[in-house]
Amino acid sequence: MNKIDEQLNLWANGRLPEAERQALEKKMAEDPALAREAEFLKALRQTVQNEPVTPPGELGLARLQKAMREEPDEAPEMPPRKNFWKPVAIAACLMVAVQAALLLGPTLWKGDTAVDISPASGEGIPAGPRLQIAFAPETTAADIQAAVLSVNGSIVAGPSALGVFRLGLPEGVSTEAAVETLQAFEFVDEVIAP
Amino acid sequence: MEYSVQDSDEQLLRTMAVGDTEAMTAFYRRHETRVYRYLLSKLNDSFVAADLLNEVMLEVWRSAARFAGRAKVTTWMLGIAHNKVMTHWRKQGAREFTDLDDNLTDDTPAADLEQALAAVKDGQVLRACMQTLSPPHREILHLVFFEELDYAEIASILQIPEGTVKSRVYHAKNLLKKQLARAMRSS
Repeated sequence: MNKIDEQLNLWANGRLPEAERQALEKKMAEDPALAREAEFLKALRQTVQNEPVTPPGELGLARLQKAMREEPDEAPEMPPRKNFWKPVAIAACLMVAVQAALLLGPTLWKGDTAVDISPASGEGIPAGPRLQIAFAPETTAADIQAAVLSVNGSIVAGPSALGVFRLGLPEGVSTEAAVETLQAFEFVDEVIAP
Repeated sequence: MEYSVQDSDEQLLRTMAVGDTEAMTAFYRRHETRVYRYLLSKLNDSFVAADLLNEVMLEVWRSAARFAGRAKVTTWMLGIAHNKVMTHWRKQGAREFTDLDDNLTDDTPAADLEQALAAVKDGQVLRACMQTLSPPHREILHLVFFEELDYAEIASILQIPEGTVKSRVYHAKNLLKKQLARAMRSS
Protein backbone atom coordinates (compact mmCIF):
# COMPACT_ATOMS: atom_id res chain seq x y z
CA MET A 1 0.00 0.00 0.00
CA ASN A 2 2.71 2.46 -0.95
CA LYS A 3 3.21 5.08 -3.64
CA ILE A 4 4.18 2.45 -6.18
CA ASP A 5 0.70 0.94 -5.87
CA GLU A 6 -0.95 4.06 -7.37
CA GLN A 7 1.87 4.39 -9.88
CA LEU A 8 1.21 0.86 -11.12
CA ASN A 9 -2.49 1.66 -11.61
CA LEU A 10 -1.66 4.86 -13.50
CA TRP A 11 0.90 2.95 -15.57
CA ALA A 12 -1.73 0.32 -16.48
CA ASN A 13 -4.10 3.14 -17.48
CA GLY A 14 -1.40 4.92 -19.50
CA ARG A 15 -1.70 7.99 -17.27
CA LEU A 16 1.72 7.95 -15.61
CA PRO A 17 3.86 11.01 -16.53
CA GLU A 18 6.71 10.13 -18.88
CA ALA A 19 9.59 10.51 -16.41
CA GLU A 20 7.82 8.39 -13.78
CA ARG A 21 6.87 5.82 -16.41
CA GLN A 22 10.49 5.36 -17.43
CA ALA A 23 11.62 5.06 -13.83
CA LEU A 24 8.91 2.51 -13.07
CA GLU A 25 9.68 0.44 -16.16
CA LYS A 26 13.33 0.38 -15.12
CA LYS A 27 12.29 -1.02 -11.75
CA MET A 28 10.12 -3.59 -13.49
CA ALA A 29 13.05 -4.72 -15.59
CA GLU A 30 14.97 -5.39 -12.37
CA ASP A 31 12.06 -6.92 -10.44
CA PRO A 32 10.13 -9.71 -12.21
CA ALA A 33 7.44 -9.81 -9.45
CA LEU A 34 6.73 -6.11 -10.00
CA ALA A 35 6.55 -6.70 -13.74
CA ARG A 36 4.02 -9.52 -13.26
CA GLU A 37 1.93 -7.32 -10.96
CA ALA A 38 1.92 -4.61 -13.63
CA GLU A 39 0.95 -7.15 -16.25
CA PHE A 40 -1.95 -8.32 -14.04
CA LEU A 41 -3.22 -4.74 -13.68
CA LYS A 42 -2.95 -4.10 -17.39
CA ALA A 43 -4.96 -7.27 -18.10
CA LEU A 44 -7.52 -6.29 -15.45
CA ARG A 45 -7.94 -2.86 -17.05
CA GLN A 46 -8.28 -4.42 -20.51
CA THR A 47 -10.99 -6.88 -19.44
CA VAL A 48 -12.90 -4.24 -17.44
CA GLN A 49 -12.82 -1.87 -20.44
CA ASN A 50 -14.09 -4.63 -22.77
CA GLU A 51 -16.96 -5.65 -20.50
CA PRO A 52 -20.13 -5.34 -22.58
CA VAL A 53 -22.94 -3.30 -21.10
CA THR A 54 -26.37 -2.38 -22.45
CA PRO A 55 -27.67 0.89 -21.05
CA PRO A 56 -31.36 1.82 -21.45
CA GLY A 57 -30.56 3.88 -24.59
CA GLU A 58 -33.40 5.71 -26.35
CA LEU A 59 -35.97 4.31 -23.92
CA GLY A 60 -34.03 5.81 -21.05
CA LEU A 61 -33.81 9.12 -22.91
CA ALA A 62 -37.57 9.13 -23.55
CA ARG A 63 -38.15 8.46 -19.85
CA LEU A 64 -35.87 11.33 -18.90
CA GLN A 65 -37.58 13.70 -21.33
CA LYS A 66 -40.97 12.78 -19.88
CA ALA A 67 -39.66 13.46 -16.36
CA MET A 68 -38.25 16.79 -17.54
CA ARG A 69 -41.63 17.79 -19.00
CA GLU A 70 -43.28 16.97 -15.69
CA GLU A 71 -40.86 19.19 -13.80
CA PRO A 72 -42.52 22.37 -12.55
CA ASP A 73 -41.54 25.42 -14.60
CA GLU A 74 -38.63 26.80 -12.69
CA ALA A 75 -39.10 30.50 -13.19
CA PRO A 76 -36.40 32.36 -11.30
CA GLU A 77 -37.77 33.03 -7.89
CA MET A 78 -38.04 36.72 -7.11
CA PRO A 79 -37.08 37.50 -3.54
CA PRO A 80 -39.94 38.95 -1.53
CA ARG A 81 -39.96 42.73 -1.52
CA LYS A 82 -38.11 43.79 1.62
CA ASN A 83 -38.67 47.53 1.44
CA PHE A 84 -42.46 47.46 1.68
CA TRP A 85 -42.14 50.24 4.26
CA LYS A 86 -41.05 52.80 1.68
CA PRO A 87 -44.51 53.54 0.22
CA VAL A 88 -45.78 53.79 3.79
CA ALA A 89 -42.97 56.23 4.65
CA ILE A 90 -43.70 58.35 1.58
CA ALA A 91 -47.39 58.53 2.47
CA ALA A 92 -46.52 59.49 6.06
CA CYS A 93 -44.19 62.26 4.86
CA LEU A 94 -46.89 63.57 2.58
CA MET A 95 -49.37 63.65 5.44
CA VAL A 96 -46.94 65.61 7.64
CA ALA A 97 -46.28 68.06 4.80
CA VAL A 98 -49.98 68.63 4.19
CA GLN A 99 -50.64 69.08 7.91
CA ALA A 100 -47.79 71.57 8.24
CA ALA A 101 -49.09 73.57 5.30
CA LEU A 102 -52.58 73.66 6.81
CA LEU A 103 -51.34 74.67 10.27
CA LEU A 104 -48.82 77.28 9.19
CA GLY A 105 -50.59 78.41 6.07
CA PRO A 106 -52.52 81.41 7.43
CA THR A 107 -49.43 83.18 8.81
CA LEU A 108 -46.95 82.33 6.06
CA TRP A 109 -49.05 82.78 3.00
CA LYS A 110 -50.74 85.85 1.80
CA GLY A 111 -52.86 85.25 -1.19
CA ASP A 112 -50.95 82.85 -3.42
CA THR A 113 -47.45 83.96 -2.53
CA ALA A 114 -44.97 82.73 0.05
CA VAL A 115 -43.68 85.87 1.72
CA ASP A 116 -40.96 84.95 4.19
CA ILE A 117 -39.38 81.86 2.70
CA SER A 118 -36.55 81.93 0.18
CA PRO A 119 -33.65 79.53 -0.39
CA ALA A 120 -30.50 80.44 1.56
CA SER A 121 -28.43 79.72 -1.57
CA GLY A 122 -30.32 82.35 -3.40
CA GLU A 123 -31.16 79.92 -6.18
CA GLY A 124 -34.73 79.60 -7.22
CA ILE A 125 -36.54 76.43 -6.31
CA PRO A 126 -38.26 74.90 -9.32
CA ALA A 127 -41.75 76.16 -9.26
CA GLY A 128 -43.27 73.07 -10.87
CA PRO A 129 -44.81 69.98 -9.33
CA ARG A 130 -43.15 67.91 -6.63
CA LEU A 131 -42.50 64.19 -6.50
CA GLN A 132 -41.42 61.86 -3.72
CA ILE A 133 -38.94 59.23 -4.75
CA ALA A 134 -37.10 56.35 -3.06
CA PHE A 135 -34.19 54.40 -4.50
CA ALA A 136 -33.02 50.80 -4.09
CA PRO A 137 -30.34 50.40 -1.37
CA GLU A 138 -27.50 49.70 -3.82
CA THR A 139 -28.20 52.77 -5.98
CA THR A 140 -25.14 54.93 -6.66
CA ALA A 141 -24.89 58.72 -6.70
CA ALA A 142 -24.42 58.54 -10.48
CA ASP A 143 -27.66 56.55 -10.81
CA ILE A 144 -29.56 59.13 -8.76
CA GLN A 145 -28.09 61.93 -10.84
CA ALA A 146 -29.13 60.22 -14.06
CA ALA A 147 -32.67 59.71 -12.79
CA VAL A 148 -33.07 63.32 -11.62
CA LEU A 149 -31.66 64.78 -14.83
CA SER A 150 -33.87 62.55 -16.96
CA VAL A 151 -36.86 64.62 -15.85
CA ASN A 152 -34.94 67.96 -15.67
CA GLY A 153 -35.68 67.93 -11.98
CA SER A 154 -33.73 68.85 -8.89
CA ILE A 155 -33.61 67.46 -5.40
CA VAL A 156 -35.39 69.96 -3.17
CA ALA A 157 -35.42 67.90 0.01
CA GLY A 158 -34.08 64.69 1.38
CA PRO A 159 -32.98 62.14 1.79
CA SER A 160 -35.09 61.64 4.88
CA ALA A 161 -34.08 59.14 7.55
CA LEU A 162 -35.98 56.58 5.51
CA GLY A 163 -34.18 57.47 2.28
CA VAL A 164 -37.01 59.45 0.67
CA PHE A 165 -36.11 62.37 -1.62
CA ARG A 166 -38.37 65.17 -2.78
CA LEU A 167 -37.89 66.20 -6.40
CA GLY A 168 -38.90 69.51 -7.87
CA LEU A 169 -39.90 69.55 -11.54
CA PRO A 170 -39.86 72.51 -13.93
CA GLU A 171 -43.11 74.34 -14.39
CA GLY A 172 -45.44 72.95 -16.99
CA VAL A 173 -43.93 69.44 -16.91
CA SER A 174 -46.38 66.57 -16.95
CA THR A 175 -46.19 64.84 -13.56
CA GLU A 176 -47.48 61.59 -15.00
CA ALA A 177 -44.82 61.54 -17.72
CA ALA A 178 -42.11 62.27 -15.15
CA VAL A 179 -43.36 59.46 -12.89
CA GLU A 180 -43.34 57.08 -15.82
CA THR A 181 -39.79 58.09 -16.81
CA LEU A 182 -38.50 57.63 -13.27
CA GLN A 183 -40.25 54.31 -12.74
CA ALA A 184 -38.44 52.96 -15.81
CA PHE A 185 -35.15 52.99 -13.88
CA GLU A 186 -34.47 49.60 -12.25
CA PHE A 187 -33.00 51.21 -9.18
CA VAL A 188 -36.06 53.39 -8.48
CA ASP A 189 -38.19 51.70 -5.85
CA GLU A 190 -41.14 54.08 -5.57
CA VAL A 191 -42.27 57.35 -7.11
CA ILE A 192 -45.31 59.11 -5.79
CA ALA A 193 -46.86 62.27 -7.17
CA PRO A 194 -48.78 64.14 -4.45
CA MET B 1 -30.03 23.38 -32.09
CA GLU B 2 -27.76 20.45 -32.99
CA TYR B 3 -24.86 19.68 -30.70
CA SER B 4 -21.68 17.90 -31.72
CA VAL B 5 -18.67 16.30 -30.08
CA GLN B 6 -16.93 19.66 -30.35
CA ASP B 7 -19.26 21.05 -27.70
CA SER B 8 -17.58 20.58 -24.34
CA ASP B 9 -19.46 19.24 -21.34
CA GLU B 10 -19.17 22.69 -19.76
CA GLN B 11 -20.78 24.32 -22.82
CA LEU B 12 -23.64 21.82 -22.71
CA LEU B 13 -24.21 22.51 -19.01
CA ARG B 14 -24.28 26.26 -19.62
CA THR B 15 -26.94 25.81 -22.31
CA MET B 16 -28.90 23.37 -20.15
CA ALA B 17 -28.88 25.93 -17.36
CA VAL B 18 -31.07 28.22 -19.49
CA GLY B 19 -33.49 25.40 -20.26
CA ASP B 20 -32.20 23.99 -23.57
CA THR B 21 -33.56 20.42 -23.69
CA GLU B 22 -31.57 19.58 -26.84
CA ALA B 23 -28.36 20.18 -24.88
CA MET B 24 -29.64 17.76 -22.23
CA THR B 25 -30.32 15.16 -24.93
CA ALA B 26 -26.75 15.53 -26.22
CA PHE B 27 -25.40 15.30 -22.67
CA TYR B 28 -27.46 12.18 -21.95
CA ARG B 29 -26.27 10.43 -25.12
CA ARG B 30 -22.67 11.30 -24.31
CA HIS B 31 -22.67 10.11 -20.69
CA GLU B 32 -25.44 7.54 -20.39
CA THR B 33 -23.17 4.49 -20.67
CA ARG B 34 -20.60 5.90 -18.28
CA VAL B 35 -23.14 6.64 -15.54
CA TYR B 36 -24.99 3.36 -16.09
CA ARG B 37 -21.75 1.35 -15.86
CA TYR B 38 -20.81 3.11 -12.66
CA LEU B 39 -24.23 2.51 -11.11
CA LEU B 40 -24.12 -1.12 -12.17
CA SER B 41 -20.68 -1.53 -10.58
CA LYS B 42 -22.13 -0.38 -7.27
CA LEU B 43 -25.58 -1.94 -7.41
CA ASN B 44 -25.13 -5.10 -9.47
CA ASP B 45 -28.80 -4.72 -10.50
CA SER B 46 -29.63 -3.50 -14.00
CA PHE B 47 -33.22 -2.42 -13.15
CA VAL B 48 -32.23 -0.27 -10.21
CA ALA B 49 -29.26 1.06 -12.19
CA ALA B 50 -31.65 2.18 -14.98
CA ASP B 51 -33.93 3.89 -12.42
CA LEU B 52 -31.05 5.70 -10.79
CA LEU B 53 -29.58 6.66 -14.17
CA ASN B 54 -32.82 8.55 -14.80
CA GLU B 55 -32.58 10.22 -11.38
CA VAL B 56 -28.95 11.19 -11.89
CA MET B 57 -29.63 12.75 -15.30
CA LEU B 58 -32.67 14.60 -13.94
CA GLU B 59 -30.50 15.95 -11.12
CA VAL B 60 -27.88 17.05 -13.67
CA TRP B 61 -30.65 18.89 -15.57
CA ARG B 62 -31.88 20.59 -12.39
CA SER B 63 -28.40 21.46 -11.14
CA ALA B 64 -26.73 22.52 -14.39
CA ALA B 65 -26.77 26.17 -13.32
CA ARG B 66 -25.06 25.28 -10.05
CA PHE B 67 -22.05 23.54 -11.65
CA ALA B 68 -19.18 25.63 -10.31
CA GLY B 69 -16.38 24.20 -12.47
CA ARG B 70 -14.25 23.24 -9.46
CA ALA B 71 -14.05 19.63 -10.72
CA LYS B 72 -14.34 17.96 -14.12
CA VAL B 73 -17.94 17.54 -15.27
CA THR B 74 -17.59 13.74 -15.17
CA THR B 75 -16.28 13.84 -11.60
CA TRP B 76 -19.20 16.09 -10.57
CA MET B 77 -21.69 13.82 -12.34
CA LEU B 78 -20.31 10.61 -10.81
CA GLY B 79 -20.47 12.35 -7.42
CA ILE B 80 -24.20 12.88 -8.01
CA ALA B 81 -24.52 9.21 -8.97
CA HIS B 82 -22.70 8.15 -5.80
CA ASN B 83 -25.08 10.23 -3.67
CA LYS B 84 -28.11 8.78 -5.46
CA VAL B 85 -26.98 5.25 -4.64
CA MET B 86 -26.39 6.16 -1.00
CA THR B 87 -29.90 7.67 -0.81
CA HIS B 88 -31.33 4.56 -2.49
CA TRP B 89 -29.63 2.31 0.04
CA ARG B 90 -30.83 4.44 2.91
CA LYS B 91 -34.42 4.23 1.61
CA GLN B 92 -34.07 0.47 1.30
CA GLY B 93 -32.75 0.29 4.83
CA ALA B 94 -29.73 -1.49 3.42
CA ARG B 95 -26.29 -1.49 4.94
CA GLU B 96 -24.39 1.47 3.58
CA PHE B 97 -20.97 -0.08 3.91
CA THR B 98 -19.78 2.99 5.75
CA ASP B 99 -18.41 0.64 8.38
CA LEU B 100 -16.08 -0.99 5.90
CA ASP B 101 -12.74 -0.99 7.66
CA ASP B 102 -10.13 -0.16 5.07
CA ASN B 103 -7.32 -0.38 7.58
CA LEU B 104 -7.81 -4.03 8.50
CA THR B 105 -4.76 -6.10 7.72
CA ASP B 106 -5.27 -9.15 5.53
CA ASP B 107 -3.57 -12.11 7.17
CA THR B 108 -4.62 -14.70 4.61
CA PRO B 109 -1.90 -15.95 2.25
CA ALA B 110 -1.36 -13.89 -0.88
CA ALA B 111 -3.05 -15.14 -4.03
CA ASP B 112 -1.11 -16.98 -6.66
CA LEU B 113 -0.51 -14.12 -9.10
CA GLU B 114 0.04 -16.46 -12.06
CA GLN B 115 -3.38 -18.07 -11.51
CA ALA B 116 -5.01 -14.66 -11.06
CA LEU B 117 -3.32 -13.37 -14.20
CA ALA B 118 -4.60 -16.28 -16.24
CA ALA B 119 -8.16 -15.85 -14.93
CA VAL B 120 -8.41 -12.06 -15.24
CA LYS B 121 -8.25 -12.23 -19.03
CA ASP B 122 -11.57 -14.08 -19.14
CA GLY B 123 -14.42 -11.56 -19.02
CA GLN B 124 -16.95 -14.02 -17.63
CA VAL B 125 -14.65 -15.19 -14.84
CA LEU B 126 -13.75 -11.60 -13.96
CA ARG B 127 -17.44 -10.61 -13.85
CA ALA B 128 -18.25 -13.53 -11.55
CA CYS B 129 -15.34 -12.71 -9.24
CA MET B 130 -16.20 -9.00 -9.12
CA GLN B 131 -19.70 -9.92 -7.99
CA THR B 132 -18.29 -11.64 -4.92
CA LEU B 133 -16.68 -8.36 -3.78
CA SER B 134 -18.47 -5.82 -1.60
CA PRO B 135 -20.05 -2.85 -3.46
CA PRO B 136 -17.34 -0.39 -2.25
CA HIS B 137 -14.59 -2.71 -3.52
CA ARG B 138 -16.32 -3.26 -6.87
CA GLU B 139 -16.93 0.46 -7.16
CA ILE B 140 -13.36 1.48 -6.44
CA LEU B 141 -11.92 -0.99 -8.96
CA HIS B 142 -14.37 0.38 -11.53
CA LEU B 143 -13.28 3.96 -10.84
CA VAL B 144 -9.58 3.05 -11.13
CA PHE B 145 -9.64 0.70 -14.10
CA PHE B 146 -12.67 1.78 -16.11
CA GLU B 147 -12.87 5.49 -15.39
CA GLU B 148 -9.06 5.60 -15.11
CA LEU B 149 -9.23 8.17 -12.33
CA ASP B 150 -6.45 9.02 -9.92
CA TYR B 151 -6.90 8.77 -6.17
CA ALA B 152 -7.63 12.48 -5.67
CA GLU B 153 -10.49 12.39 -8.18
CA ILE B 154 -11.93 9.24 -6.59
CA ALA B 155 -11.71 10.82 -3.15
CA SER B 156 -13.69 13.78 -4.48
CA ILE B 157 -16.45 11.56 -5.90
CA LEU B 158 -16.78 9.32 -2.85
CA GLN B 159 -16.19 12.14 -0.35
CA ILE B 160 -13.60 10.14 1.56
CA PRO B 161 -9.94 10.89 2.37
CA GLU B 162 -7.34 10.02 -0.25
CA GLY B 163 -5.68 7.67 2.24
CA THR B 164 -8.91 5.69 2.46
CA VAL B 165 -9.03 5.44 -1.32
CA LYS B 166 -5.45 4.14 -1.31
CA SER B 167 -6.11 1.40 1.23
CA ARG B 168 -9.47 0.48 -0.31
CA VAL B 169 -7.90 0.00 -3.75
CA TYR B 170 -5.14 -2.09 -2.21
CA HIS B 171 -7.58 -4.39 -0.40
CA ALA B 172 -9.93 -4.61 -3.39
CA LYS B 173 -7.12 -5.73 -5.68
CA ASN B 174 -5.91 -8.35 -3.22
CA LEU B 175 -9.41 -9.72 -2.67
CA LEU B 176 -10.02 -9.86 -6.41
CA LYS B 177 -6.74 -11.69 -6.99
CA LYS B 178 -7.74 -14.30 -4.41
CA GLN B 179 -11.14 -14.79 -6.03
CA LEU B 180 -9.56 -15.08 -9.47
CA ALA B 181 -6.97 -17.59 -8.28
CA ARG B 182 -9.69 -19.63 -6.58
CA ALA B 183 -11.79 -19.57 -9.75
CA MET B 184 -8.79 -20.73 -11.74
CA ARG B 185 -8.10 -23.61 -9.36
CA SER B 186 -11.69 -24.78 -9.41
CA SER B 187 -12.03 -24.67 -13.20
